[in-house]
Amino acid sequence: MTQSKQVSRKKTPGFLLTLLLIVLSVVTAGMYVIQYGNYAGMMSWPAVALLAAGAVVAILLILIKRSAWAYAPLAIGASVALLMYIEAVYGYVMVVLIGIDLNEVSQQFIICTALFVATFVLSLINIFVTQEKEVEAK
Amino acid sequence: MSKVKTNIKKALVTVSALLLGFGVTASSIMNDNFETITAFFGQQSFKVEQGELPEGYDLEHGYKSQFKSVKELVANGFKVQEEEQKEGTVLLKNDNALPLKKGSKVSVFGVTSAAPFYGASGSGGINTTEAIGWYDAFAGKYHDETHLKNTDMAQGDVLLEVNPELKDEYTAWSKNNAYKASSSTTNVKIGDVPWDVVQAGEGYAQIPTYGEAGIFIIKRTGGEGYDLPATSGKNAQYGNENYAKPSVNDGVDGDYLQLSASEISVLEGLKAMKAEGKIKKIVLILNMASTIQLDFLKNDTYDIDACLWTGSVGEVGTVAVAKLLTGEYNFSAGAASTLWANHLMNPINNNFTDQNYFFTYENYADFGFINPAEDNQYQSTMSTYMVYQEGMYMGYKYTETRYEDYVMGTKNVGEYDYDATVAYPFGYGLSYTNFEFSAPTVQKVGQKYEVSVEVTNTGKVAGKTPVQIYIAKPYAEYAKENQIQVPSVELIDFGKTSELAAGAKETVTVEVQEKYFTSYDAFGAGTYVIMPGDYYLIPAMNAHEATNHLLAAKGYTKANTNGKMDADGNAAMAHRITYSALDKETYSLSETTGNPIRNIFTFADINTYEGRGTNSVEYYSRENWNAIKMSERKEDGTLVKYYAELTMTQTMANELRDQMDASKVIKKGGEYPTYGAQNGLVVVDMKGVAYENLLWDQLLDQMTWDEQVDLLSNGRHRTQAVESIAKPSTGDENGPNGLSQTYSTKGGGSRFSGPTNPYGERVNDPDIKRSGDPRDKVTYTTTGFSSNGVLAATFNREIAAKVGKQIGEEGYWAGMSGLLGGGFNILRSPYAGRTAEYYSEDAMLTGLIGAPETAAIESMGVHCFVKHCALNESETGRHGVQTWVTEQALRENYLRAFELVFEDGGAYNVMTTFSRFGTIAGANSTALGKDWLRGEIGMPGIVETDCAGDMTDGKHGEAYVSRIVNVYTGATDLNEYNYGADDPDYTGGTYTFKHFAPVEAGGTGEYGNMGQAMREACKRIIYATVNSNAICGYSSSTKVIRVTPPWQDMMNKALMGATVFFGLSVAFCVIDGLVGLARKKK
Repeated sequence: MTQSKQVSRKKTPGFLLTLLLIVLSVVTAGMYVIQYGNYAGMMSWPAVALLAAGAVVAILLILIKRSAWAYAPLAIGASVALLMYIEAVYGYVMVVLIGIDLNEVSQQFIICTALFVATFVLSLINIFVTQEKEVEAK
Repeated sequence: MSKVKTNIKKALVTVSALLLGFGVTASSIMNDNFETITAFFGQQSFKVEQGELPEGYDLEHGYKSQFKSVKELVANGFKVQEEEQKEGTVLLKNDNALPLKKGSKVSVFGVTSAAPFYGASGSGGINTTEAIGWYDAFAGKYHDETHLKNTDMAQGDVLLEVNPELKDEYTAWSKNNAYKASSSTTNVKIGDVPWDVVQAGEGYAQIPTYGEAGIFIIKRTGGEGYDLPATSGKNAQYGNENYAKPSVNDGVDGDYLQLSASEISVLEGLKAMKAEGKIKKIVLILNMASTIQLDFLKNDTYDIDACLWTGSVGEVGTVAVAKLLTGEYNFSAGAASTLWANHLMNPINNNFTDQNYFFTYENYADFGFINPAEDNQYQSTMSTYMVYQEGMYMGYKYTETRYEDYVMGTKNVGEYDYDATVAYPFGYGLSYTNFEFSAPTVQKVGQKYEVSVEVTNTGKVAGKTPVQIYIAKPYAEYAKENQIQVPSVELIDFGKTSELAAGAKETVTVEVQEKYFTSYDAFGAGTYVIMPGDYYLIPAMNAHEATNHLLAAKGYTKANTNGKMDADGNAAMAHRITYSALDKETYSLSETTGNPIRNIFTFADINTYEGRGTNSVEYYSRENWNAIKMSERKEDGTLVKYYAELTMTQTMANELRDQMDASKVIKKGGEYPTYGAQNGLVVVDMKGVAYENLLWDQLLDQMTWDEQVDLLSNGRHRTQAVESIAKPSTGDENGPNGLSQTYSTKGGGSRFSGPTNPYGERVNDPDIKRSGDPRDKVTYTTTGFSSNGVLAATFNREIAAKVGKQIGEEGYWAGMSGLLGGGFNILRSPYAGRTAEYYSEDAMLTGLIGAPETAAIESMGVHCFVKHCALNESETGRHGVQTWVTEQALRENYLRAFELVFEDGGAYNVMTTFSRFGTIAGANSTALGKDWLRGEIGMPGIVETDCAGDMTDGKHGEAYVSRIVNVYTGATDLNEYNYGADDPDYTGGTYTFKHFAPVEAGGTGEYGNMGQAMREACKRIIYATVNSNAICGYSSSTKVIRVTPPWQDMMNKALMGATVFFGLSVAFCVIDGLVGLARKKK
């Protein structure tokens, strides 16, 4: 008895998570630009480009029916973007957390950091979530 | 099985990739902050190799401690701080209530009784681990040579027996969020426990038993980074912009410097209990560096019998206060700033950025600058300003001068009610005894006047008193013609008696410098002048008494002024000296450098600034006291400030941007100096070599380009070690109220500064903390001193010198060769955040107390980075705020304090202001750095700034300082921050030092003048180092060798491991995939 595999693109959790991550990557990149686009000191344009590129490549893979591999560009994009974001904002974190001015962490910073971290964590989970549904050939 | 295997492969690659990715990022960040991290781990980026020493070589280079051990030093610190507090606590009111009998049974109120205000936050922070609280102090506990820890305090006689249940309740309440005080930029809470809660407690019933006195202790905090709010929440009004996050507080009318509702309820409760005979006396203790509005005290609203101001009390100040309360000590202080009856009557506050206020140019957006209200991190930098519209008339110089003009009926004096304005004047302070001053005898000796006053103790107990000498200068034709402002009386010097027994006399002679008879004549001679006319030297117990003596000398009495004078003065106390002609020569040259003194800050006065456009400001003058309309508070508590309104001009905008633009400031040309020569000199060889000596060139020739970049890029509480010349690193630490350090070896614990050079390690003291010591090891720390207003209130140079010597010794033992202090800015407003760091509203008192303190610190090889020079009077708007001030006021009211600590105190270094002089940031100002500090005052050492590192990383913190441009112009030598070798000049900047390098160092070789400027800045840093205790332990044969610190070595290895792990993971997956494919093919 032989078996063949068929992709169920709409039902696997991985596929749904991939779709969510595409949206989340775009939202994270957009929010980062809105909040810090005018401030070079905390802006990493490569991070934005990587998030966007990850989302674009994932969409292309879905379009060419290779959605099972879409997790990879999303994960790479989210991970490296997070690292670049950290490098861009760590100075601010140092100033606020160990600085001498008595101030609170800004709301913009919390929003952007939460989005970056969420995108990163979900993209890691997505690596291990079932991307294809195996069905018996008719 | 296949799926599991796939997931394992995915996990391997993911984990190894993440390890590598985070490793690379961490490595990048850590290498950027190499020196900071090295210091954090208590490691070194260099090692020191000691060569052979000639016999008898003094490795301490003449520095000699008077202490034999850390414990002895710590014990002396407690002793000195107690003495400081003893002589600096001001008794404001005493209706025969004090002293209390020793052992009296009292009830103590207020959450502050259980949570004292020891010291401020930010750079004025102090060690409080061994601080003694109010209850322990009242119980007679203290520290001595054998009891240095709070776990083992010495026990003396019980000074006051405190209601125990009330004490327990307040101890619990002080930890309860509902009652305890707090401070932040969004919520500044006075707190305290409402009277009905006190009544419901168990301690309330015991009050009659402990009713000898009800002692109510209240506090107000403060610190770096925020001013105190005069408004609250929705009642706040924010200049001409809406500030995003107004803070809230619970003071009356939302004013932090008034009583809170809870405090009022306690005072009313105490008043009622006193009326019922349940307590005999009410004593109020103001445990605050600032001063609250004291109308209630002056008007006797709450039947308070006695009140004292303690400032922030440092580690053991409570012990001194307890002894003062019970008469073991006597009071002898005078208030270092005016205590206002009503802060609305203080004209400064109109133009002061308290916590909820800052002032913006209405048209800043036209020039592309951001709205500061968008960011609660750093509100200033480009678009905000502050006008010192009061000119010369600040604090008592306002209250007394307007009073004099009011009494004399000068035109345009307006309505003025001294009593409603001032609660207690500058210099005021009571004692348990009384003193009488004789009329002064005055003798001129050279360029000094010797003022002698016979002081008699006419009371019944021993005591001492300050003898304040005021000068009254002529406000006559020349002054009026040349817009010179002349306050009625100005403190010119002071002395203090020794402890006088009852009935005893002492003649106090104070040497008054004639140079302080001068006024700065910006519009006439353009230098200091002695104007023709009558001068008066007036010994007095406070500024108001001096003014009344002056008025008496001018023929005014209560009777002939229809009661406008509030007390008759004594004309004999005002000694008249007449100068018949204008003298614009004698004091037109600098005493220290011989350079001419001339106008150099006209660009900071909006009325003389060339780019002012249509802006103009009417400063306060004796010709028109109505120039400033006082602030008003509406019924809903909203504070309306009638501040000076300015608009930005194109010239201003251009200057704001261009002053830090390397492409516009740094010019090509010039010859580079020599780098990397082998002349065999080391820094220690330069000890005692004059700055101008050509030997310095040989030493500097040895430095490489990279070493110079490294030295000029790393100033975070340090200066960097240099291998080629064996320059030791230096540790430079906060701050204005003590060093706040633990005694340890170089590697004994994490610290903020760079490597230290502790004497404690060189003499192998057993009580210093060593690397690897257990966490519970008993450690010893430097002394936490009282707020500097307390030191100023002592009016005692000897105490100031003792405090300074202790700080110097502590620096020496802890390995610090630099102190980031003292704080010689002026307490322009009671709402200033750094009230604990600054000394007084008066520049003369600040400088005259600061000079002996500074000299004593410097005597131990600890260089003072006196800060923040100058105009750093506000915190809320400190980041680049454009300050507009007349040159006369700038010099006489602000720079004078710094001038004294440099010229008389021998301070070596300076830290520049966060503010701007007009449009020019203090750190960028060559007028300040080159012309004034070096050219006029003769400052020998480093000009440093901490504003760049502190603000360039904020969200909207538009950079306003370029470290590279400033080295080129000579405005600033060093940033108090650590930069990597290739870091740009500021966040968002595009220039690195390499851009200006010679060809052999990778540059274009076109900027020789830049190379020369860098070398000169390095020279100043090295010159300061060799004349500090940093060279202790070093000799001509000592080598400094750069090494990789252990943390970096470990990080490099870990990164290599992560790379290998990632490579192996990928290789495993690839090989496994290929094997699988091969199997499938088979």
